[in-house]
Amino acid sequence: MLLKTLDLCHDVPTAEGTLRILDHIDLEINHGDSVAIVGASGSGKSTLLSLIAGLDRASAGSIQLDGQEMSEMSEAQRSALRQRYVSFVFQNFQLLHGLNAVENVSLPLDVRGEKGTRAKALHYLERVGLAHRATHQPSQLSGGEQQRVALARAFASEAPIIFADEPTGNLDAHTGEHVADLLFDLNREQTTTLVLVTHSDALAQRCQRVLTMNAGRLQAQEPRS
Amino acid sequence: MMPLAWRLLPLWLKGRALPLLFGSLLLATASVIAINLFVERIAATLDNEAAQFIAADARIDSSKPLSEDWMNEAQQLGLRQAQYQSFRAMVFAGSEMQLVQVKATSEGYPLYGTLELGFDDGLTAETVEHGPAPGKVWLAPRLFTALGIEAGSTVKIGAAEFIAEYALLKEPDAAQAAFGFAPRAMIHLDDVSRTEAVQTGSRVDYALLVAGSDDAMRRYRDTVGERLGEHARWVSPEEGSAAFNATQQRARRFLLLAGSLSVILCGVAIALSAQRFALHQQQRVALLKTFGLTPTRIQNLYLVLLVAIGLAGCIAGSALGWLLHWGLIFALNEFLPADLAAASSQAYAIGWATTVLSLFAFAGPPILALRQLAPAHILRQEPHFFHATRGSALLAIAACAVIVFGYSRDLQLGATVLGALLMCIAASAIAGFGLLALTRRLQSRLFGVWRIGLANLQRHRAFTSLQIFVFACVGMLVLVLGQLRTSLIEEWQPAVDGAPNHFVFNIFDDEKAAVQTQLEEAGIDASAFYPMSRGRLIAVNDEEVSQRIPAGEQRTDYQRELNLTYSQRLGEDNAIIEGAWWQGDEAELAVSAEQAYAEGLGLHIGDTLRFSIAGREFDAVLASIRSVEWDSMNPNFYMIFNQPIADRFAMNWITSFYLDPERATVINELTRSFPGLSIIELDDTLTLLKRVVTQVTLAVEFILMLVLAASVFVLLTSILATLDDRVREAALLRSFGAHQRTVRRIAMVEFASIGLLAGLFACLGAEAGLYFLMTSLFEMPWHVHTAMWLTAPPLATLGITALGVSATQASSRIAPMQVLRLQ
Repeated sequence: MLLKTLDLCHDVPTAEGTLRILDHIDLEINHGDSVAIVGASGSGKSTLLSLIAGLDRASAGSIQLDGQEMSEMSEAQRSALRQRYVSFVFQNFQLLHGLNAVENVSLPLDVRGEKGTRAKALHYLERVGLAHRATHQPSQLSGGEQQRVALARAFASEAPIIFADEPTGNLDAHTGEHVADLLFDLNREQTTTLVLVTHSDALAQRCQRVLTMNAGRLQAQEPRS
Repeated sequence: MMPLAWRLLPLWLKGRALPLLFGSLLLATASVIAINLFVERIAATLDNEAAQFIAADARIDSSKPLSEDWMNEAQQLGLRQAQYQSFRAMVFAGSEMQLVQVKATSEGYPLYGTLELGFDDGLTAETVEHGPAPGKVWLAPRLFTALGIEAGSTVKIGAAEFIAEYALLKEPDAAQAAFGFAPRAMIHLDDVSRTEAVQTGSRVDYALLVAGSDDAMRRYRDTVGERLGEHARWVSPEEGSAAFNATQQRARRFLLLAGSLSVILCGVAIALSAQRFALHQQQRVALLKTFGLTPTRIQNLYLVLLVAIGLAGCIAGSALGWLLHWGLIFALNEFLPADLAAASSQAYAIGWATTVLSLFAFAGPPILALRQLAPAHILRQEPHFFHATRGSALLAIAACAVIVFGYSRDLQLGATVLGALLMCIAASAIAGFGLLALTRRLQSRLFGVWRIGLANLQRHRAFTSLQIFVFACVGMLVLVLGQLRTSLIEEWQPAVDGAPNHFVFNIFDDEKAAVQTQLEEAGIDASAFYPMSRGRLIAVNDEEVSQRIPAGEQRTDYQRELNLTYSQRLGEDNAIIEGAWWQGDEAELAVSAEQAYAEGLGLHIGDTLRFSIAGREFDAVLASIRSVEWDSMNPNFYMIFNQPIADRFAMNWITSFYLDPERATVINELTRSFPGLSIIELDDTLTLLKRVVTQVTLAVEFILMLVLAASVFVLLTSILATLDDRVREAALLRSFGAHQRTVRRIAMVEFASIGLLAGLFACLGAEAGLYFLMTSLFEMPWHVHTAMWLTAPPLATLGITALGVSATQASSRIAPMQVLRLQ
């Protein structure tokens, strides 16, 4: 078991009182799983993603990543856990303007203090077919290319679990499909665990399991059809 | 940490936030260093010049023979020294005789300055840097007439014969000669014993002059100056001339006040630009956190950045400050002495300390708070936050306090500035929200750009209030400095232009009318004639004065002879601080005392003061305590009585007037007509005073320019802090079909409203600050500054609207989709 939640709840204060965003979520994700979280806007998908990825602290309940209880961890401890276990792909790419493609890919490796980061970054850029654009700035790349650089960055850190938040949400259908192909190919090659939040049924159906969120509750855990 | 910081450097340098932050810091450092370098060099130069007032770096006055220890200690410290004795004696020439004040000088006198010698016709013959040789006497010009002698004649002082070599026209420390002295006769110290004029019981004043390096003088004061005993007192150049000292003190205070205010302004600019920088960093920090960067590493990363900015600020600020101070010296070239004193490294140290303090107190909180940013920020577009916690606000206020107190080393000045700032904060917070509520009501009755503009103010009311506060503070500081500068110059100018440069005293009662007539016929506007006698205060409420002198104060400051006068009219340069001036019908003898003297002895209204004039004692009741503008150059007195005391004890008269140096013959005619008069020329003092005023006026204007530059930085950073929101809002409005012109007009409504409110609060804060500063610190009259109220709010409205609209103009030009797609 790589990731497990038990009675996970999350509340936010509002002017009208406390609003429950997540309501008693129980979830188990195994090594090598690919899981899609779907649901209407405001159903709590992104909040669930941010909690299980250790980006935020839950109001109540338990989250275990590789057997380690995250709910009681400090921000520094969660940072250390993220560094070791987690990578992200974002809807709006989140490439840093001012750094070129290869520098963006090597940045998480630099954060870890690894050696030979440029060579590794170039390898993953080559893997997503963008080695020839290594020195280009994000503004010189198309949306699809930017997301491929983001994929290279996510896989370059060789983390066991990748969280993707609407990875094709900002791309046209054709480019989105190409990016999704790359995402699943790399996931398969590196036997990483993939958790993605999406509105796209097509993308969700490529995962082994689909979790549907509704008003903060986990409605169903469908196996792949 | 360093490689990562190096990798992120291009990201930090992108955009305008970091350059603005660095620019604000650079301006703060440079202005602090420039002001300090300039003030330090001018002050050192003025100190050097002031040393001429006492012909030394310091003088020890003693009523008993000088201690050998004092001289030995001076020698050991490598100080130059000279001495003189002063006593009264009769000078004889044939059958004529005159009472003179003999000054017997040693080798080496004067240590600073020169003596001007002339022949008996009063024309300057030469300028020398030494006293007379043994056997020679230099006499006041009028003694030649009074004694009927000419240069080269033989005269007798006491039992000794001297050759009257020259007329003594000027001595550097002449202004120090207390009024009431008989005309001067200067001889060599070795001749004193020959005169046999000094016998046991004779009243002789002894003086030891010393000069040397600052360090040696400091050590000498610490070792000798602090244990002189009750018969001796330490006289420094500042004490040597009350007029010069008062002007210099005001000038120095103003410059330091201006310096500290410019730093606070830069601090506001630093805080605002740091805020904007921190906002731009949020997404990046959140991303780095998703990579697993811990809060501590984030903090260290930004600490590296702050240290790098600080170092760069110190280096570049030092260079810019040095250039600015040279620019100022170059601009003031014709008013400054050629050999300007060197500055110490202290100015740079103060600048660097200010940089570090400003950086960590103003820029530190928002930037270092990035460590607390939740990494989940990356997944949602959270509203931008302004990190204004209670802790960071207290830190900023504490830093302001340290800067103001550290600069001025003056509790009163610091408290006034901080009080005015806090008042501005409170007024802006209360009235800002109140008036914004008013605009909300107005808004419902308006339409078009007015409605949208006022709605925008409402929507961002927290930041709008902050902006109003910032603009009001900037306006307040600029107005305070501007008004204070105008008032100081207005106050100084009449004092310097046409200020009296001659004092005439020893005018006997029966000569008064004739002297007055002769001066009037010569077209001289003499100030009032004051009756004057010299006496001592010996007891307060039957307690001896010596018992009331506070520890650490020089006893001779309070036990020396004072100039006493009586008057029914309070001089224009005097102001009652406590008690009341007399009505004129009081039967009992009442007295008004000078403020510093009264405070030193702890005098209270109603105290009975006992005076001694020529050995005769009388009592007077203390009716009032006065402040005195010593720099007015008019005759002023420590004690003024309500009734003539001349009928009991001999009094003579004193007057002062301005005489064009080219009309010096008027003085010769006056001394010929009235040989008994004593005249002191203060041309040197006045020239120096004029120079100080000119230097300070120009320096003040320069510093005001620096403050204005800092203000523009503050305004720009404050406006740019909202630029991102404005770009987004403009794009949205244009997507609804609004014209670029409409977007600009909405911005105009917003900035004009902010400008008007800020202008009003700035006037309020400035008026309060000016009241305290002028009445308590600069001792100047306060009045409502109507012109400021009429001009500042409209100017603030226009200025802030122009600056705001031009700074945000680009936001209305960006294609809406370009902006909205990025959201």
